[in-house]
Amino acid sequence: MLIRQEPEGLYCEAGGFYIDPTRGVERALITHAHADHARRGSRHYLCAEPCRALLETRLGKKQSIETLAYGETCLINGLQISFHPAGHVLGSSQIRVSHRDEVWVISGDYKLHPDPTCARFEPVACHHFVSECTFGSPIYQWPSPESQWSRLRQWWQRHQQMGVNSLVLGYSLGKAQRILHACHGMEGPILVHTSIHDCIPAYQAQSIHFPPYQILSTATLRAHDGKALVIAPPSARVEHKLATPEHWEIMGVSGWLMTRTQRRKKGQCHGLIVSDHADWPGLLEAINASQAHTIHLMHGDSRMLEQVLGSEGRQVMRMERSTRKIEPSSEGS
Amino acid sequence: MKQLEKLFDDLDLVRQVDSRLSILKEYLQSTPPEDLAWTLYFFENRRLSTRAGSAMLKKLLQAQTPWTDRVIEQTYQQVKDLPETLALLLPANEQSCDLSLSSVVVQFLLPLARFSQHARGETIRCAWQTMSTSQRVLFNKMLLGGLRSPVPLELWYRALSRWSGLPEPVVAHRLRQPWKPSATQVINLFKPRPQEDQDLMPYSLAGLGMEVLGPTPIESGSGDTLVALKQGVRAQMIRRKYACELWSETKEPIGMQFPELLAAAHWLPSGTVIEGVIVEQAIAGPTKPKRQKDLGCQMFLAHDLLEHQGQCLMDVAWHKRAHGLTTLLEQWQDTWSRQQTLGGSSEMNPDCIQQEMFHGEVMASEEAGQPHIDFPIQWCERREQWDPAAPSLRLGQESRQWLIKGDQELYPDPSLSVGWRVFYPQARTACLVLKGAIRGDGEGEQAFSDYLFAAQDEQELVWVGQTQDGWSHPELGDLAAWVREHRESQKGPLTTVKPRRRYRVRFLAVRPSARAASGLRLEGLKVLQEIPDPASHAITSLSELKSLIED
Repeated sequence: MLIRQEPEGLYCEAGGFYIDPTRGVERALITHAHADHARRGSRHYLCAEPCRALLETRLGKKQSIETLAYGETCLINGLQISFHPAGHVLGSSQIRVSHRDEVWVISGDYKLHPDPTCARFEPVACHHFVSECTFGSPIYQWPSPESQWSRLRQWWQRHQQMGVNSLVLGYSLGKAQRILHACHGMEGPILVHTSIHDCIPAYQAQSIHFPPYQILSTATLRAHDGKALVIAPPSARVEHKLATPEHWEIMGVSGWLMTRTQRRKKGQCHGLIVSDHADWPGLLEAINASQAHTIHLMHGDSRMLEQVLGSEGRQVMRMERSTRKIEPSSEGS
Repeated sequence: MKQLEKLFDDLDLVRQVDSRLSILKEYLQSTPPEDLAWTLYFFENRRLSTRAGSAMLKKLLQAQTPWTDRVIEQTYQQVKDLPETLALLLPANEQSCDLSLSSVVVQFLLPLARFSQHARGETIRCAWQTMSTSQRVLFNKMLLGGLRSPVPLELWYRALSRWSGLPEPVVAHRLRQPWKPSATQVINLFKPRPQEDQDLMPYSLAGLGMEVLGPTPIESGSGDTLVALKQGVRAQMIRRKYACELWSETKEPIGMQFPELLAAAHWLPSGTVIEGVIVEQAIAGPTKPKRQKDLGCQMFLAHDLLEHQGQCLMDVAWHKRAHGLTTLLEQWQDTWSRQQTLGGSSEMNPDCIQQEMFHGEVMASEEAGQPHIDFPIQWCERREQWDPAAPSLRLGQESRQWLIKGDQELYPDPSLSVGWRVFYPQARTACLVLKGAIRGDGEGEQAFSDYLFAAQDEQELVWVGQTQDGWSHPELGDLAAWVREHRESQKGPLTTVKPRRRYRVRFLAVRPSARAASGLRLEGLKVLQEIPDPASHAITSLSELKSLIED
């Protein structure tokens, strides 16, 4: 196989590179800048051009990062490599690897729903499609984002009237910016956690603009107490200024909130069903659009997708992460 | 249906009580009475007979979708709720049902029970086709009888009270009575009936106050009385002209849960309020009845008289209240016994239908050779002196909690949080070391949910119990700050601290514990005081605690 799963991540032996490696390697191709895909310690990184600034924010400016524009092709050890929009977050890509007559596409994380903060998913024809299946169950069918933002607007308005602060929890890269962008046209002070603010310049560099906001601090919070919409990552919930439950309503934003059981398990109870991953129809649509004869599934529970694709006569393989222990590397951080 | 869907949706997004109340208020103001009737009907845990089971619904789903049994099963394992699983697996519908809740019930749910299986399936299928996913979840829950309020019922009572102007206990009482889900009934349900409402109102009960330690809690001849507070449901029994009800300590109407006690309450004279504890009482006799509850073996162990002949007795001395209660119970116990002997036909209380029902049950059970049933309202155990050497105390047969009531003592004012003096015969004291704390769900005094105490095991300190009972809120805040400052290590939610603070604690029992390294755990642990000079008090040894383990 051109690409196989190794303890360090997806490995292309012919090209001598890894895709989203879990530890430091010589050459890493990065689908997007989320921490579980972009890790420190590799010698050379290659990513899509819009991902660069985010990668630098995450990994540091001293890293050796090369970029390709979406659709642009380069050669690595004779293999043709190109990046194509995945619609997950800003700069997220599917990576197309072509060697002789075999074409592989590694989707990384992706979604098909429109998202104004990143380029829309583009189907790429291939023979082997390595797809994520985080939400690989037919129960996951996202409601329209507009309906969810409308809920956000009503929720915030209600709390403004009651003098209660509204805290929205979303990952600091991608989800938080999507929430912030959706606040265009909503009235009231918006406070944003610094970790979210740190990623904003990368968006602005791609001409993605946000409504006015202030950075969350004790002073800004005091100034807008009872009126503010605070956007923060889930980890910020334990910070002192956000932990007093009396004056807060808290909302999560996640695809996992689709079911009541998950909502209870997540602890934040309830929230908006907005995800940066493909839902069940999205997974099927992307897989069909790839025209691939072999589907490799990774991330998440693939059982139901395997059954459905298998019943359609497709070859489906599970790409399991290796559980082999890795010795510490001198390159690793 | 859309209003109910929105109600769930809105309530899902808020946690604050005020926010929830404001949503409930909006719902109550905008919902027609016939829909409100059905909402309250379902939220009071009542269910319709639809004859539609989970197997049938799964088959219906499979007929409409490509999903196999295996996919449905795997999805159910993820979702862990069948109505939701079914709704999520159905093809998504952009439309939502415009019918009102009452129309949905009348058109789709009520006819199901008399339909053939095929017609039932068709009706459910039609209903699903008109509904959005979240409406289907609610509909499926109504079908299967699992529709519950997303907020506690107490919040509904509060919202309904504000909306209708009726006191909360009255709202709760009326909703617990039999009523039919119709617009007329729900309108009547919330109409003020001033005299009835007044008669229903319970008193605020005094809580537990200062703990009395020592082998003899009362001096002989002091006039103090010990009254046993058995483990059970603290309650007050109200019998007034228009009302007969049992109220829990938190003013929840619980009469419907104890119908035989409610029936017995009807035997009391109008204008009576008794405080006591509801306990399960084994029926004496050669053969134990199979269904004790059916024979009314619950007892109301009275320990105070709050109202007599319509007069509040809270500002009357204890000895007078006690005398009144004794006279009252003797009088009505006689009436009860006479009634049983006569066969129950002559002295029926005419204003009480439930009494008649109950009486019928008693007679039927006697005919079947069941033992005689005592009047289920009795004095609790009382003592005017205490002998710590009494055999029953050594054998651990005494009640674990006793209230101390002074001869001239008035009923404690519940608004002042004074409460009754309380005595625990089994209580023992020990000197333990504060060893750590378990992370709580907040800041300041809520930073830790429990504090861990250790006893001495040779050179080691071993965990024996945990509590936060005994500290005031400000003290807990200070303690939390101290724990953070003197943190030794952190493992998950557990913070361990340097063993610098020693406390005198009381505990009510020592139980063996396989999970604890010490092999035991202390129950009913309460902090009495911090020992200012740790060197002056030796830490209680583990072996000493082990010798107290109860079988």
